[in-house]
Amino acid sequence: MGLSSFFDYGVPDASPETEPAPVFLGDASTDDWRQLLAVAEHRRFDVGEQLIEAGERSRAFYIVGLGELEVLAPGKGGRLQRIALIGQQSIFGEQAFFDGRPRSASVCATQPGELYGITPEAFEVLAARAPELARAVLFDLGRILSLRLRNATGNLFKGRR
Amino acid sequence: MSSAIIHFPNYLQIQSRVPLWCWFALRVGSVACALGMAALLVLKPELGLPLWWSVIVPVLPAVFFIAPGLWRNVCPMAALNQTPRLFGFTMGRTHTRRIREYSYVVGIALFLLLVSSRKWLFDQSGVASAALILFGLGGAFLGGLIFKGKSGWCSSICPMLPVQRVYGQTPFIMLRNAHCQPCVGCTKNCYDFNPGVAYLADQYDEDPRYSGYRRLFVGLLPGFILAFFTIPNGQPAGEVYLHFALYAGLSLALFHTLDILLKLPRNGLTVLFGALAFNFYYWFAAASWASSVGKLAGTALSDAVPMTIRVLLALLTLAWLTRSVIREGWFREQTAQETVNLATRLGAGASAALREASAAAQAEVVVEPDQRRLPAAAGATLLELVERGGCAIESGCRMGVCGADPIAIKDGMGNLSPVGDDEKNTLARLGHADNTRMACCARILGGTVTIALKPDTAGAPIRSGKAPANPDIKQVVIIGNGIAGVTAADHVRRRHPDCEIHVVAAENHALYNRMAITRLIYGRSAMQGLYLLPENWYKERNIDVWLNTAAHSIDPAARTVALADGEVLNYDKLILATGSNSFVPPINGYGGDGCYVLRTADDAMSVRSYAQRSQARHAVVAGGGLLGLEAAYALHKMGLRVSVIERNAWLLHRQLDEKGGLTIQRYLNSLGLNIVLNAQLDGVVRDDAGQQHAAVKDEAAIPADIFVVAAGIAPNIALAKAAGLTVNRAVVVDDAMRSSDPHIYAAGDVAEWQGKAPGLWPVAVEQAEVAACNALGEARDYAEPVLSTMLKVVGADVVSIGRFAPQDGDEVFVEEDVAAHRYRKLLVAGGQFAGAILIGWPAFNEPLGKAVKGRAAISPAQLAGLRAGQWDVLL
Repeated sequence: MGLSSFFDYGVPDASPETEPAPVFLGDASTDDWRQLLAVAEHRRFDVGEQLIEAGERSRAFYIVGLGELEVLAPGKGGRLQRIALIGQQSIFGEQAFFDGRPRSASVCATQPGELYGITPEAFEVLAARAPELARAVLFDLGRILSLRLRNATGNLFKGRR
Repeated sequence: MSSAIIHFPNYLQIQSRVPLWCWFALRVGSVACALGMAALLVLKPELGLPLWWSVIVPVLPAVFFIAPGLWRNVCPMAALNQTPRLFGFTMGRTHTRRIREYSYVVGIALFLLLVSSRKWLFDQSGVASAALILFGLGGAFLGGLIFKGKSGWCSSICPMLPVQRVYGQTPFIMLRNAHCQPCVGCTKNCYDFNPGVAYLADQYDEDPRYSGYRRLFVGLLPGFILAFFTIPNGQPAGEVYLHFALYAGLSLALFHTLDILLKLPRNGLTVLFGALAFNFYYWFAAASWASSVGKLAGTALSDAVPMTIRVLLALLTLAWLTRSVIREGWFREQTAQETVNLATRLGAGASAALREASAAAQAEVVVEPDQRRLPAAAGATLLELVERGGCAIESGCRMGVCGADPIAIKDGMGNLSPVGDDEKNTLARLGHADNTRMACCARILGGTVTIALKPDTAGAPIRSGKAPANPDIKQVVIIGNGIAGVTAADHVRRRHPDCEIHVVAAENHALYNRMAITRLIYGRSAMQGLYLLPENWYKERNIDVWLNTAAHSIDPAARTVALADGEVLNYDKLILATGSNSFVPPINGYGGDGCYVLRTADDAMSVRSYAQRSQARHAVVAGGGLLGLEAAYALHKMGLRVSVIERNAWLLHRQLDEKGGLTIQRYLNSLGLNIVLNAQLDGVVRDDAGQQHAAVKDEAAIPADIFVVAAGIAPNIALAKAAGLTVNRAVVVDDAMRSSDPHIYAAGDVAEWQGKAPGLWPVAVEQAEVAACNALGEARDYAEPVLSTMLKVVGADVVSIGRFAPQDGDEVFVEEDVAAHRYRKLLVAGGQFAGAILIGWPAFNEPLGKAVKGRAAISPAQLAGLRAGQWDVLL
């Protein structure tokens, strides 16, 4: 549960649960990124445009190059509620990339921008062309997924601090 | 936090209403008052006791309820607690884990013990009450001496804290914490740091015990208060405690029962019990307060005062309840946002690459109806863009011949490359509206192009062309419904508006995209997507089509075709377009379960259903040509472990040279395909366990649950042979596509022209048009187009144009990039582009395809550039 922002005491050791955001492909060169983007779907979007609808069966994970997106999920009475913001230069959608299950939430643009989608097919092409890079992609996606899972399940030892 | 409105400001975000010195003065006053009160209680208990217990103390819950910050700032205990910090002599220790866990519990226990003890001790004893005040002041001071911040008393074991947190969770008046300068982060969910959210954060804590202590307290509080006011005075201590325990226990039981039965939000019941406790308290305390004030003031207050207090506070409670519920909603919304926490960052290498990619794609394709915007680099085909944009589109030959990908250009036609010959022919055959383009041919040159993936239907169907009709010809029969047959029918109709045209087809499908049948295997396409003609195509052109009907025999003398169903069709001209079947060389053991060829859509669907039914895991494809590799890729996409066995020394040996073959082989290896070259297939065998294998000489047996033969084509010549036509490998035709019978023409796979029957779509299209023209009396010779082929394996980008084997006098340019699976080769003969192999160089496909097909002359500048290794001169 992310309550830390209510109690951001501004004291270095007082809020140990705020970790820096995980980095995707931190060691990749610009050339690696070129290779990755070369296999990606490229899309531009406007404010309000829906890019993913909850329940759809697309399987790409996305790299937000520019712009800002919001993640919407049905809240009270089925009304869509924003549950997260996705800023530029970040990734999302890796769950469906791995498990192929329907999308769990909708994603709409709050600022115009561009994104790059990597489908499993595109990933396979990348893996054939640049296995090292593909391994790094997979490993980083796994790491990010794991951190998000940790975040969701909570740290079991937190209560004993 | 993204919300513009801060629902839960921390104390640093709360406006300061009272100057700091004012608080200091008030604190000095409050400590002095507390000490004075203690003295009064000892010296004059008959005055001190009612003043303290019946007048001052009953005011506190209301203060906590309305403006809790006021008490937090002026409380004499807090003032003393903060004195060591203020003057810099605190030891500033941090809580240990155990203290952190249980200090609040100690506070609860103290509260319960002290309040219940009022009944037999404090309410009656001035000395005890004074001692209690001094105990509070001393304890607070001691706590401040040892522990940092307010963690020694105010935020840990202070007995008033549990009540403050329950009643003060939704303050009506927010007062900025005037103690902590600065915050030292001493306590979890600090009430002084963020008073509006501290209690909610407690309730939503992920440690059930942490929230449990707080729920325990609020659960027993209403009962505990009722007990306080219902115990008769003068009871012995034991009975008092028993009474309290019973009431508190019942209250707690009720709390937990309701907690289970009512599906309220986490803080719903706690707010409700807090409100109950508060109102129970004032229901009783209001009367004693009014009478005590009256007694001490010497004049009785009005009888209406207690009820006024009760009603006012009850109304206030209603507002408090509503606000608490609303605030919990905000809290949930806000914390949900944080729970998902999608924040990630990209590595440092990303920025430059993203900037480049964005800058390279200045043009834009907009796909209707959902207005999906696809950035495009100038020169890219709409097909590539749409495929890369994740839209569903079919594709076939990818060079404008087959007609698999017609789209409607809704806007921006001028921003596209002009229509070439192949595309023009295909568009004419399809007969869609004028705004139709073949996506694989239309390249965006810049600007914005708006498209729809479904072509618009034409306003008026095309009936006839320019060439004069030959009235002698009344009936044309075409055997075969493939691309050759349909093209022939189309051209006959264009040139002859009213002759009868019969198309006889053995397959039960209208013309479909044979090049895409492997996609049926892995389910990327459904049959519906493979049909190449608009639904009413035959009808609009007044063409009779006999699907699922085999032609039985031809009688050239009588000029009739007998159909298998007994029907006989007369013809003036007959065009044979019977196509070909898969060529299956003699293979020992071939023909059992799991053995397939891939020629028709039905073949592909059989492979798919067999693979699913038999849970096949291994597949072997015999033949490393275009179809073999595409089939292997399709089976790989289905999840099978696929081996390709090829008898030649490299793959695609008819399209590529050895280096090219090795390049594509390495790519397929990386995808996970197993390739066996120079393979001599001994047969298909089944071992004792029932597992089928492909037996290859000098190789370990290769498991083959599915065995697909892709060894080329065998033209369907049986009909022609039986009719006595000259037949070699296929039906021998002259330049006019005429067979040995003057009224019978042949086109496509079944035609052999100058000893060649290549079995390619562009050849079939060209031959069918020539055959149709000549059949109607027009004189037109067939000239073989420059052939180009493409491997449709995603990511492979293999194109072979013209010839690739150098002849004497050719100049050859070759560049190989093993690491990137790229290879390019160009043949220049007699100053002209003669052939090219491009693997992994999609940007060159179009310019080189055009140059080689058009047998264009190479400029001296281009030659010089190529000799210097600068291939970009060709772009």
